[in-house]
Amino acid sequence: MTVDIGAPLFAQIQQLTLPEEILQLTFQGLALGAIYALIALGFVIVYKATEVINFAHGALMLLGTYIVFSLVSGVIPEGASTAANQAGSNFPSWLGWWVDLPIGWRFGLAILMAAVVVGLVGIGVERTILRRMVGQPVFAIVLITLGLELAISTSVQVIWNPQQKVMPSPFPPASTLRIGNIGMQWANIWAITVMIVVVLAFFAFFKYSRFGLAIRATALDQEAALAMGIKASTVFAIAWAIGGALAAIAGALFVPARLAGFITLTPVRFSALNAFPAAILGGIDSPGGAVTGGLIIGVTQVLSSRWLNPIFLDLNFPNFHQVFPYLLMVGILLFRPYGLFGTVEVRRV
Amino acid sequence: MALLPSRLSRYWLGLLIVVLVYFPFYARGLEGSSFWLVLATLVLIASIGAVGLNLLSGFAGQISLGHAFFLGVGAFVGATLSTPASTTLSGVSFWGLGLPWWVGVLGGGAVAALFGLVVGPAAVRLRGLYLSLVTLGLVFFGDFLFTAPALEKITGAVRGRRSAPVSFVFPGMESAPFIEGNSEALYFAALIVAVVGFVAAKNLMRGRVGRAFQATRDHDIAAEVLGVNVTWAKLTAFGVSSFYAGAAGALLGVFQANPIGSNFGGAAGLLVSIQYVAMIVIGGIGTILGAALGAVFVIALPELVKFLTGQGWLPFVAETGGGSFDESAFSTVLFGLFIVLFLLYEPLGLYGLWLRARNYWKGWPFKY
Amino acid sequence: MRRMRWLALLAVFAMMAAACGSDSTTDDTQAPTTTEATAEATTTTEAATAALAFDFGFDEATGTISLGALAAITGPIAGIGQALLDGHQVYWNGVNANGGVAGMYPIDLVVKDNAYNPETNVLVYNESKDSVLGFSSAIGTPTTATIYEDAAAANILVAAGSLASQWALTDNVLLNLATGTYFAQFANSVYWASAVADPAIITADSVIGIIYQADDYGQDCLNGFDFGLTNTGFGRAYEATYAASDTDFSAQIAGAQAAGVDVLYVCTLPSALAGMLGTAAALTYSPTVFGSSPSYNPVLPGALGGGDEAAGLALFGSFPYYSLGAGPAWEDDTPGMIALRSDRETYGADVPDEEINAFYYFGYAQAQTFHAILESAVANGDITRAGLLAAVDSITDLDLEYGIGPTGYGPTPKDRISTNLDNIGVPVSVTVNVFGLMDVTGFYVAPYMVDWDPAG
Repeated sequence: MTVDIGAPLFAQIQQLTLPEEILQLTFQGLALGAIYALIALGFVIVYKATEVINFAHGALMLLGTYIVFSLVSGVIPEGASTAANQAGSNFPSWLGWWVDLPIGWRFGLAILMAAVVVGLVGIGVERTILRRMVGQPVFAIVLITLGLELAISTSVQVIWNPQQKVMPSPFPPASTLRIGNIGMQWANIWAITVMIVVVLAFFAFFKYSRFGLAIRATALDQEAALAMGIKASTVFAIAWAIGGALAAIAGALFVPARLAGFITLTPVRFSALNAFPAAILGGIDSPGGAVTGGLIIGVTQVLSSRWLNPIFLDLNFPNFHQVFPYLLMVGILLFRPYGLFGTVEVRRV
Repeated sequence: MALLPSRLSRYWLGLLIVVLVYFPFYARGLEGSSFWLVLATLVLIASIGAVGLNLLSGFAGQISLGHAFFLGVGAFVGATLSTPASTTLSGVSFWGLGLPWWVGVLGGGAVAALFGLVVGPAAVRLRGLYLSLVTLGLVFFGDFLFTAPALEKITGAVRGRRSAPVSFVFPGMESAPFIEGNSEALYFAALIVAVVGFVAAKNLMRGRVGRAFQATRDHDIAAEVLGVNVTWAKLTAFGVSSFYAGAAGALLGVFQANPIGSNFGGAAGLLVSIQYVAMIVIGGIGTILGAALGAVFVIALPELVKFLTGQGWLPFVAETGGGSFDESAFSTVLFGLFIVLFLLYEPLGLYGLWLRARNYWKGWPFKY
Repeated sequence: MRRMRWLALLAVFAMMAAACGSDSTTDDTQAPTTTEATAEATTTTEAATAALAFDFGFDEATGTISLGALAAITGPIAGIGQALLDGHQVYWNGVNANGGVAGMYPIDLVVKDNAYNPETNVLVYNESKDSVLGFSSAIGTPTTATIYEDAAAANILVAAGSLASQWALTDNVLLNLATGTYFAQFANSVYWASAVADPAIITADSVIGIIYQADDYGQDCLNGFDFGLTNTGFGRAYEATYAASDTDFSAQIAGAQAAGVDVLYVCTLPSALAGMLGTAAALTYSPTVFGSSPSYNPVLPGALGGGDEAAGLALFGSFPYYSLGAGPAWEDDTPGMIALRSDRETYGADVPDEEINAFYYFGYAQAQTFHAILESAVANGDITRAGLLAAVDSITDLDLEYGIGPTGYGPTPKDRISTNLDNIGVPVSVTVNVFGLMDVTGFYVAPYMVDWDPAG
């Protein structure tokens, strides 16, 4: 039987020159790094303000992803049953106008809504749980966030049903902007753009607004800030809200840009892990460091994967690019134990 | 303070050991007998690893997320030492020396301890969160190392390798005395290692080393000033805890029958590390007994949930396979919530509860 | 505050009590047994069971046979595991509706969740092994590896939910007769691409490369790929791996492009495939791509086209992309597929459409094969564990009626592996075909695979 399989898209295998390839891969790395930067930023802001290592960040990302999925595709999760979540929108009819909006608008508004919701979840977590853990050993707090990670990510999975979901994406993976011989996927361009916008907004907030000032003051010296009338509890709440919102944005961007819309649990949940070396590299309490670290890790991961992996593969050690970010992190920590931009701790005897 | 300060505590310890030794024989009569035996074995193995982590993180205060890496090292070294050389299904021939099981346990522990000593200097230079994230890197390094075809003869690369069952057949005997089957043999092996390990750990923490660990944890600069060699303490902490992890890993390899590198590294490895951190925190950080209690809790909780569901006490939860919100999902959520609630109300963990109960009974009928 | 502490203490003691004292295990029943059939059959059952030899997993009073199923319902492959279990359960429901095996012995499926975790698998295997005759489904290669030796020592038959060729070398672990192995998919396809396809896709000038996932799945693909290349005289010019948690494939694709690869084999999963193909399009790189069976998913064209399935399909066609080992199509009119569809209507109406995929078919066919073995054992009057194992050797000429011809097991590893179940498909719309693929070949086998012996 004959099947028409279409004409080849490109006449021959075009090859890039080495400088072109480096540029191309650097761009790819920046796109990857943009997501890492957003994740790391959310992580760092929570740590800077509250000194809590939030291992639940990945679960918050997942929650944000699923909320955006529901809003964009118009599928309300019908709870824990296998017959739920059939394909096709099941929004009530009075919300029909929403499903008719162009996907770009839906996506943008959905991200904003998800950021608000997950931000509120963050505040909720801080208020109910972490508030009571003030003064407890850091281990206990770390473990609480780990427990939350398990509880939240499993609940999310159950509510939305673990079947493979595909998020309708405003930027299909194959649509590309070409400049010379370099092809830039629109998904990646958007990821970088959103990162720049969010980071600028964040820094503007941090530097010029009263809340940003309050966070910086509390991070510097909690008692002095209290003496000046800055309530620590407000600061904590804001930090968690921002952290949650950033997690939601990162999660929502992650899936269309990196996974072609396939909501695959493991990469989303554990992508936060890849951002940890980024946060450490830049200095765990430096937001600027987090962004820089994320971009560095992204670019070095792609470049090392291209040129270092084959060397190790010949020695029968595949996937060197997985260890490389950690090696880089350790290397930098040897010379700067507090990261590139982190504050050096003054320890009293 | 002596190891067993009062006659009462000696009595309780003796009773505990008798119960543990008798358990497999009792379990032969239970319905679904091999399940309880296997569960108990897993708890014992986990408690060995948990004690090791407690020494490092609880007593010496060095936060480590890389425990899974040392477990993996122990699993593969132990398997190489105590499994006869073989060619398995996929045609790969593995190195194997076929030595007795305890050589595997000790060897696995020793090699893991060597790796721990390599990581130790990082602890000297880095503190707190920075150290914990470097140990996180160990987990990914483990994935890289254990799944590499270059080390296929030891680790089996992506397919894993066989780890032979424990055998108590001494030379000159036809079969093991009293013991029926591989599961029972593994249980006794784990019991022996656990008892020895616990006694050794308790003794160690009673002495100079233990005090040095605690000084390092609480005020390391002050400790240095007072003459405690903090560098030595940190290195020893990593070495000793890695030894325990390696020994537990060797037994874990036998339990899994075919240990695979990807279960000790990468995302799966991180979950294992987290599991052990959960054990020591829930059990009671900085206590030896806490490690055991935590191991029981973490391993047994999913089974408890399934048991409760089976009895119909949790009607909104479906049975396995009967819908998305079934016992497995529920037990995971419950596990996460339990950790959170537990630590909110009892930061000292199960050990704290135990202390509370003990003090209550000690003072009864008086209130305090 | 105090109350909470006592509550927690109580919970701990309750748990310890439960762990120590309970002697009842939960018995998870899944398959409904039709009461009419069993009522009618009791008299015949009693008479028949008098002659039937049995040891484990058989209830003499009701004539019920218990089978175990180790499924991955939670965990990293929950989607796959649930679909597989659905197909499996639906088949057994159908069998029970007709009274059970030989019309007399209903099946009770004891389902346990191993969450694709080896330790959990050991626990749940030990939990159910004494109460079941055998395991009609055990998902996962690393998980099955933890139990197969113990099962062999106890003569327990295990039907593995795995496409790894190594199981053919065991006596008690069965591969699924209705699906091939990754090894065979890759080995056979090299032959098809070079010697059968017209015009030939692989020629003397071709530069061939492979990108695979760095785990046992990818390893099986790689081995088959190398085997095929060796036997057809071609060389491998490029090899790259990626990790399961990777989301960026620029390096692997750029490397292939720099090496001039024009025939690329991939052994991957749908989200990674989407990433790879999207990156390739961005790099204006369009080799011919052959992908293993799990790499493709019917929703991929929609995802790649940004909601426009036709655009996505055009993209697939522009490489072009071939999916290996596609299996029979859902819409086929073979008796087997007709029965599969009608069983879905009758017993699987609550299984969502998203769970009707190749893994559903896998689970269904797995139960179908196990049923044939049970029938043979019952006919021999011996459903002890040893009897079940012996029955496997006699299943040599089984036609599952999916148009793949008679197949079966046999005493040697060569007999127990199917090397001729490979066909190749190209992506089409789900409106044309539920699995999203249209065959360009029938089932075929390369000459060097006909007598392939997995034992080496």
